[in-house]
Amino acid sequence: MTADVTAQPACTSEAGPGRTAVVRSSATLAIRTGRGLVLPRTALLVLVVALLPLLMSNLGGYEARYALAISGSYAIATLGGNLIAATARDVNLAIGAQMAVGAYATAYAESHHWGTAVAVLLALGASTAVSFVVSLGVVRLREVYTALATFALAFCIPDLATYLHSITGGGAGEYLLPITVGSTSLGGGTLALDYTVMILFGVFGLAWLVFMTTGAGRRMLMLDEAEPALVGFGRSPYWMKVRVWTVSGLVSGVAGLTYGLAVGYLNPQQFTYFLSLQLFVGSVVGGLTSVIGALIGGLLVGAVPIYLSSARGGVEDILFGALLVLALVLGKGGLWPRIEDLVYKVCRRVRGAGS
Amino acid sequence: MQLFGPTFVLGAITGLVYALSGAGLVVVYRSSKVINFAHGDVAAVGLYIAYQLAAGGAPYWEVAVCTIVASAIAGLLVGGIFSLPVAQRWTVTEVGLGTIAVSFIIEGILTQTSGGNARAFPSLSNHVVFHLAQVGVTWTDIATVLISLAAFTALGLWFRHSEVGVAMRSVSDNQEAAHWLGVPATRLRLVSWGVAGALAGLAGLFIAPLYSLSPSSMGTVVLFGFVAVVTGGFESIVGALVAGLVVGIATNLTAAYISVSLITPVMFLLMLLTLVLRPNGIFGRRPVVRV
Repeated sequence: MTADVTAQPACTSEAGPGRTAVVRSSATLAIRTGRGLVLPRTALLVLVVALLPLLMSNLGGYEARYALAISGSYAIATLGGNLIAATARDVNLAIGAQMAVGAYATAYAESHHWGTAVAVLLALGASTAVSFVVSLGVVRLREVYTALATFALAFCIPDLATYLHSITGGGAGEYLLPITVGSTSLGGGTLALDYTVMILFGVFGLAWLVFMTTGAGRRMLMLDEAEPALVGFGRSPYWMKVRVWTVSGLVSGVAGLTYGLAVGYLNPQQFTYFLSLQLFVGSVVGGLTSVIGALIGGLLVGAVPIYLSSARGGVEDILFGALLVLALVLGKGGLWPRIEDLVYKVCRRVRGAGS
Repeated sequence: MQLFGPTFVLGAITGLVYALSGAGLVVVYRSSKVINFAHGDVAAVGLYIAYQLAAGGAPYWEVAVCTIVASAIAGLLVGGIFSLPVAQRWTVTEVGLGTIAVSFIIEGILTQTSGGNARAFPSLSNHVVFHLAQVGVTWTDIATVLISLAAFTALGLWFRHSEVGVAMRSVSDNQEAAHWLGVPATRLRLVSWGVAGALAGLAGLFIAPLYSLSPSSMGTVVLFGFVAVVTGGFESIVGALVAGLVVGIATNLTAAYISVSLITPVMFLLMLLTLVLRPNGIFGRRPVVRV
């Protein structure tokens, strides 16, 4: 069985010595697995970390605001991928493909003047439905075979978008005008879109953390760590994985929607397998199973190409390759779980010195 | 129906190249259990080096030999510097993901050094020798068929009858037993990376004139190679050959009768169906488990 996900870390616990030892070990395990540390202070941390880029975009110009909307969208998409990695331990190399469905569905609804509410519902519905259908086959696979299948899916999305030109605009692309909520226009480079994206990220991140404290959330964690036990309790790992992939599709669909609004124009070449691979690299670097790791990964994937646009071609590829190697060498699920681990150790040492 | 004959013949020739690309993936997988996402980039390295020779006016055979040798060395380097040192500490999935990183780095370096523009790569000869089902068969097509079949025969015999080939299979099947029998596992794996690199270069020689040469152009070939080995079975050379032919013919028929844009989606469906229905591929062996 996995860590007690509702446990308080040792350095904040007020319980007796026996209870403290249990809590300490489970909290350590939660950190080591990169999941399940659900505390008010963790939730607060997610909000603060999500708000920090907003502060930067407030201080920066149009480029900073544009970069944040794209990075935030990538962070939401990465969160969807991390949800799969954290529970089913599957490698999803088609996050960009899931985003494409949400983005194109929004553009389709807009081009038919169906209104904002319908556009949002269509984006969510289409990305959820497509992910559900794909997951029926993909969740039967394991490890590198899942990676292969999703890689192939990511590879074929631009061609599929070209083929479905009556919906997507084909190679000529499709414009996506800013949508209006009340009197506020949500378009690329606007602060309103930045706030919307980061609030959405915060809401999804917190929903994930809270969900992991519930019974259903713990059963999801059992998918990876105690699947036979799950079967013993009469649960179907297959359908649980399908549910995880479907929810991930919904989250990535939202990311596609906000990405579409940020860039204002959709083209099949924006959703090549390269985007999916970059998002995966961001996820591995930030933390494959962590909420804040998803934000770090999204910021990395979104901001780096924008700020490296003046550099000579190829630098971006080398940087992402080097970062992926570094993340794999460092291990422990990426940057953020390592920081959490370090903070926990320091916290424990301080507490030990105090007592 | 008029379209069927030419589409079938051209599809079979292209399929042999996909099979060749898939064979390199099988060779690495059989010795190291690694799925090499950088396979196409290894070929690209060899092709870019050979392109310099071709641009200098070197004869085709020199360009061909240079491509194969340079790709073999690139394969050896990827295996020796990256994959094998980490194989003991990382999971198979992590090593596979690591090859994605290597792919990124190689593409980046090639883009930096070459500028990233697509270039025309020379072919053996476009002279039509004879017609088959309304298709003008060129010397390049004949060489593709003969060399691919020769490569597959050699690989099959090598894995089945040569001392190195059998030892390589033993390393893959039971690493511990191979170790106690004194089989030099690391050296054999390194050889397999070199052989796979040479096969990638060989496939690249036939593909580059068709797709033109760019840092990422070999990625498409690798995808079709992946589909071939997943369908045929990651352990099977014969499977890669048969499935490569099927993939080649299927892609050409899709392009001719439905749409060029549907080639990769059809391949995805084929791959997913195979993985779901026969995870070890049509010719793959199911792992034997003691119960």
